Amino acid sequence: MNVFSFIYLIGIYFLLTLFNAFNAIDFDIQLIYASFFILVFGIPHGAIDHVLFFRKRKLSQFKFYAVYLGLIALFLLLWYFSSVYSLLLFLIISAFHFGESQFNDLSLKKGIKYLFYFFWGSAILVSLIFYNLDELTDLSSYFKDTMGLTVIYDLPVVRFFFYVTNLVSLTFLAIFFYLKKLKIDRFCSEIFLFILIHITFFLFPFIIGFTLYFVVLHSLHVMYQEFNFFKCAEPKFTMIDFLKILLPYSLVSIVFSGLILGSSYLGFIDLSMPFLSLVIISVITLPHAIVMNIFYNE
Amino acid sequence: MLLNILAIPKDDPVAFTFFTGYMAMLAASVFFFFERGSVDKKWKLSLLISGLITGIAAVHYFYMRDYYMATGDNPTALRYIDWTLTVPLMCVEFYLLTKAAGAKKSLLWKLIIASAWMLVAGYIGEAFSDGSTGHSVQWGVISTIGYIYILYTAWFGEVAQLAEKSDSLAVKNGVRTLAWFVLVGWSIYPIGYMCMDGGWLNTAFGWESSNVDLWYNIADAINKIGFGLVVYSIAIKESK
Repeated sequence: MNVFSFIYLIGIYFLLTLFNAFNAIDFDIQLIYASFFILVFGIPHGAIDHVLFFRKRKLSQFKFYAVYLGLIALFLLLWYFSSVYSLLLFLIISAFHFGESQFNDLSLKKGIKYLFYFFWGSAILVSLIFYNLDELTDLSSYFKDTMGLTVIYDLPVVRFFFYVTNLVSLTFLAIFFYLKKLKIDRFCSEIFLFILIHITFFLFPFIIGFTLYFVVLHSLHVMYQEFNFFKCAEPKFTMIDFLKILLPYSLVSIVFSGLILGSSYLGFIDLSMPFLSLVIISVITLPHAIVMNIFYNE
Repeated sequence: MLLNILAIPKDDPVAFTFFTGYMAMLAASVFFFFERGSVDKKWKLSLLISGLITGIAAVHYFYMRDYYMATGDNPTALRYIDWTLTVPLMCVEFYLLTKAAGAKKSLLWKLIIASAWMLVAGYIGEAFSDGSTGHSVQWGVISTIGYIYILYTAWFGEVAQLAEKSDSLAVKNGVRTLAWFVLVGWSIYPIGYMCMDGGWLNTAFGWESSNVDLWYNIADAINKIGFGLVVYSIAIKESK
């Protein structure tokens, strides 16, 4: 078990205490606290993509931003034409990205690695959907622009992918252990974490389960990897230095996101806040996942 | 006594596990006590402690078995008496295993205090419950602080660091295995706590404390006998 799994476990105990005390937490309260944690920890982990990229590759700033923003624009266009395909693409990219951030240290052949990343990340996302299907269907049905997304929450289809992705992920882990790509301690830790994630998604509402996973096991973990990267290059690099790099770009991202969501809230943009949040997060995820792939592999 | 034994219901797994738990713990004690003769002098105390853990549990399971057969109720008080004695002894094992790597008496006391804190608070929360959620939550939180401290010490804190410093691979691996016991094996207890009447797992999912007795019995056997076997394994490897 690594320190992030430990923090995840503490988070679970804390949430169990909360639910023990209050039995249920109002959806609005869930949303407020989830948004807070995602903003504070989720945005910073992706806010320094450009800093990481320029440490790894030489490219003109213009070209980098042209490609980065170009990908965002293309994805926005896809959202305009088809929200269902966009959501599916977002889930596929996120699955790969989650898997890569968790297992980028394994030395495997590229093809096998990428396949494993995809299946492990998919197992996480599909499980989250599977255990909270009714809740997601209700949430999506609430707003006009998210209603069309309920077609994804088809129980037989979700159940099928739930079993396939989880089974394949576990098989991959077992094979890696058998081939000594994973030591016993790491193998046991990953299986334990896998079970813990399932338990969390089963016990807690969608937003809470997702936030706990995303903030602790993904964002904090990635920020730790980013910090170590800087530290390896400059041994005197401290956490304060890291926060100084993160802060300005994170603040800009938070303010920008806040302005867009505020525009929806005030009616300037005719899209619901949940839908807009989904679009914003998804369009940023595409270039972010590409940058992180370069970060991990070069 | 014979009539009582013959009256064990065939479809009562809880009664079954009380009986098997009691015998398994007793057998493990006998094994650990006898095997003290097979290990080096420095490991005899560790095996003695392992034998005491399972021996104390065997006696308590003997009484718990009778209490359950007579009343059908959870033997809460007896369980906590058992845990209050055996869990600190398990913490003593962590100290003994890392002593060669420099563990100080202060580590021993910190672990014992943390385990006693965890159990006393848990007992107050469970046995003196007035049915109100506030009482069980309050004491559950207090108890969990002790558990998290032990967990942290075993995985990242003093015990983990000392094991890492140790020259012995058997000690390194053994302490890590024991840390897994604390993480996975001991987690049944807070889950059981939340299955009490009014607990969230009880109200949200209908999990009842009567269902948990079975898992407590199985977990206790695995946690205590398994714990002892890990210590035994280290002792045997280090005695070769």
